[in-house]
Amino acid sequence: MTSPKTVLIVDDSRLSRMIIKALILEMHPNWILLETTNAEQTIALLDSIAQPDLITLDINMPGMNGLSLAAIIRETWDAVPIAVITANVQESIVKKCAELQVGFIEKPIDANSVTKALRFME
Amino acid sequence: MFLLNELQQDSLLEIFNIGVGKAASALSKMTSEEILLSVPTLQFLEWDEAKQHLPGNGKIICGVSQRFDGPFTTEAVLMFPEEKSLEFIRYILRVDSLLEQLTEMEQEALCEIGNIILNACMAPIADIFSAEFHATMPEFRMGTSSHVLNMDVPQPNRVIMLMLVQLQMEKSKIDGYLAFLSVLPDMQRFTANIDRFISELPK
Repeated sequence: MTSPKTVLIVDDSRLSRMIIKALILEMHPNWILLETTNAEQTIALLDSIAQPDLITLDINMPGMNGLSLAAIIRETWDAVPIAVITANVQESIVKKCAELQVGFIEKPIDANSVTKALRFME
Repeated sequence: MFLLNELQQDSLLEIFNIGVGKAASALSKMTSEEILLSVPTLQFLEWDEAKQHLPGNGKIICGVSQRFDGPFTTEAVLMFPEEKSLEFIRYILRVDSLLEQLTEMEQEALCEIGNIILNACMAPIADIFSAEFHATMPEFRMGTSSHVLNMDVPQPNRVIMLMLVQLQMEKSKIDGYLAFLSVLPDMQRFTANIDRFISELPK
C-alpha cells in the first residue's frame, strides 16, 4: 500500500466531486480527500492546511474560474501539482493549462482520467 | 411543480456542461478564438412564466433550432441578438457586407454552423446515456426569444425545463446563448435516465 497522500478536489459539481472521490478511494483507500466548491473556499483551505499532494480543479465554477485560481495557487503554493479536470476542451484552454504548468484532463470523468490526474504527482 | 433532487439537478447540469464544453470547442475552432462560457442555469417554470426568463429583453433574436429526440426530448437553440448574428456569421465567413439583414445564403450558413455546434453539444450527452438522439433539420428563426424557442403557442399548465448558457467570443465581443427547452411529461423519462446514470456511477 502506498503512503497516504492528500488530494484536494475543487469542483462546484457535487456529482463530479463524488465520482473523483470514489475513483481515488477505489485505487487508494487510505488517502485523505478534501473538497471545496469555489476559489474562495480553496484559498482559505490552502491557507490553513499543509500543502496537499495534488489539487484537481474544475474550470467553469461560479465566481472566480479555475484557471484564475490555478494562477493564484501557482504564485503562493508553486510546488503543488494541479490537474485541471474540465468539460471545456477548447485548444486555448489546453494552452493556458500548459502555460500554468497544470495538467489538462477532459470530462467526463472515469478511472482513466483519475489515473492520469494522479500521475501529475510523480 | 416538478422538481429534481439536488443530486439529479447537479448531474443534469454536469451532463450539459460536458456537452456545452464540446460545443464551445467546435465554435472556438470555427472562430479561432476562445469562447467564454457562463455557468449554466437550470430552471423549472410554468409555460407563461418561462417567457419572462428568456434572454433578449423582447428584442429581435436570430437563432438556429433543432429538436433532439432520444433519452429525452429537447429543443436546442443557438441564438444571438439580431445585430450580433450579422456580425457572427460575417465574422465566421470572413466576409463584409453592407446589407443590414442576413441574406438567404448567410441564413443557410448560420443553420449549418448551428447544426455543427448543437450536435457537438448533444453527441457527448448521448454517449453518457449510452443512447442516440435523432435530430430534426436545423431551422433558422428570427423574432423574439419566445418565437425563436418555439414558445409562441400558449400551453397552459405545462411545465418546462429551461437551461441557458451564455457564450462570449473573447476577442470579437460577440455574445449569444445556447438554450435547451424540454417540456413535461417528457422530463419524467429524462429523470429516469438521470437516475440510471447516477446508479451506474462509481460509489
